[in-house]
Amino acid sequence: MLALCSAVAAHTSFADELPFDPVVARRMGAFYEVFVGRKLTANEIRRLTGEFVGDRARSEKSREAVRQVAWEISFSMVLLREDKESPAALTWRHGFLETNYFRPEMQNTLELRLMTEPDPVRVVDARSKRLMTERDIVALANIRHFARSDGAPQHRELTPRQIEELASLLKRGVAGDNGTLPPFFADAAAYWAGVRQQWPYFNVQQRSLARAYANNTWRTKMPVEMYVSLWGLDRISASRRWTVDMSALIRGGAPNIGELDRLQTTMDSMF
Amino acid sequence: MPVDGSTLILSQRVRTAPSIVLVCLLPVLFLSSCGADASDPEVARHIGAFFEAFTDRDLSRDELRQVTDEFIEFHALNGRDRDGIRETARTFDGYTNILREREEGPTTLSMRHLRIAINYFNPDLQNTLMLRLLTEPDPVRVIDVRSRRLMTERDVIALANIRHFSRSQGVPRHTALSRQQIEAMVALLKATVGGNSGNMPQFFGDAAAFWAGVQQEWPHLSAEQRQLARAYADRMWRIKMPVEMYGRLLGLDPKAALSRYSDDVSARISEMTDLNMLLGNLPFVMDAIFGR
Repeated sequence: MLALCSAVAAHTSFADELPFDPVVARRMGAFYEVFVGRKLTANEIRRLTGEFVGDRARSEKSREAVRQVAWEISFSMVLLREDKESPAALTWRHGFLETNYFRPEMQNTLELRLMTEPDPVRVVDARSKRLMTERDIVALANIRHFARSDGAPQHRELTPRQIEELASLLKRGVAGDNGTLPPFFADAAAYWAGVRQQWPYFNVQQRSLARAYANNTWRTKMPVEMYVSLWGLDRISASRRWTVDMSALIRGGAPNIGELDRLQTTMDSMF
Repeated sequence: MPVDGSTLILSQRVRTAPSIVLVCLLPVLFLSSCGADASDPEVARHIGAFFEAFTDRDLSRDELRQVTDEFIEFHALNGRDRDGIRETARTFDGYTNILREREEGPTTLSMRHLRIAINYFNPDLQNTLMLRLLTEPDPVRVIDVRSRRLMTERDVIALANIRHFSRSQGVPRHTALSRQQIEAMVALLKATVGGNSGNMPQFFGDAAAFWAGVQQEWPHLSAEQRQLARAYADRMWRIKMPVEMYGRLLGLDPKAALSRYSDDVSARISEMTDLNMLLGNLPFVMDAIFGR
């Protein structure tokens, strides 16, 4: 990585108009290599760095402040690299993607393309600023099957055609005034990873709660600790997520997508 | 004068030999360094000695060159000039001396753990040989990125032993764990405190040092101190221990011991440290290892 950054620093001819910072290049290059799961080319690192530095410079951040932002982002690479299938890592990935996906200044950037490369965004709800990746769709179908079964959580892959069919129903469900993507749909991949990871260590009551939540989402009262475990959230985020569900419970309802029945029937038919 | 790996190894060995041998070897050291290829001989000497003491093996010439280059580049990118980098490299001599001169006990284990923990989460050190060498003797097995804490394999083994000790009446006796037992512990720890289900208690990262400290200090502890050590092994931050005990059991200097003591005071105030839903599962697995 160090050698690669040196090489990038030496080749200034192909994107001279972009600002370059070797420290940011090293941090963001290393981070995105872990995030995407492949080596980046020298050109990609140069462009990525230029976009990153340029974006932050426009908001009048000093060089040190920009480096600090890069450091804070790249800090999560250890989690993404070593625990990439854990609910904590999936929750972090999703939050990072969702935060950036709706920022106007990120549109058409290489950074956003890299963010969506390993797991493409399939459903976007601009109203709630939530989105579902392909992995969320596959997880949602698996969660539905698990919720209606008695057994342990077993993962099954879907065919591209099945994913397409579900994506199309979900898109229609949030199009126009049809409905809104519920928080749980956007959290599906992390929840599914959490259920599978924690299942061997859950007691009977916790298993029953995890299944009930998969079936009824916010209608099921779960302690905050279960939110911590199932989504790999820190305590504050877990409390916030718990509060969202409690609010829905108090109001007696939460926004949902249109034609939910049809989506559920389609998911059931896939298993 | 550039220095290569072989020179470094020689120079270390003569430190234990009579001074007359050192005088005789000096020309040899000078000559053997002529074909060297590390980019900065002074940095190479200090950093190479540290990593050789840390890994308890000789570094190859390529390894020495690479760690030296990485060290220089790392500090240069963070704004240090060559003199500043050499000065930083010299500060490693203190760690090297501890590793060479002290028997493996709480002090060396605390120092090792701190070196690993500081560097392991540093994004700028990912994929470097420096980090690979730091984790070579005792691999990192459980991480908690949020709290920036980690457990090495030795901590995992120590934690199981500490649990057994805390539930017994006898003297602290170390039991080795089978590979299967270690892997079972690691899997549960990852699910429980690996940032997926709550933060890792600070004590878990101190486990190897604490266990070494308890075993080393046991013969010198009074009955009351023994009771305190056992109670702390069982209930961690909930037990009030004097600062001096932190120093002895974790091998810390007075300032570090006070800092560690303060961490436990904070934990007692917040009572949030390890209120972790799944943490209750861990004792069952550890007890099963010792057939309880």
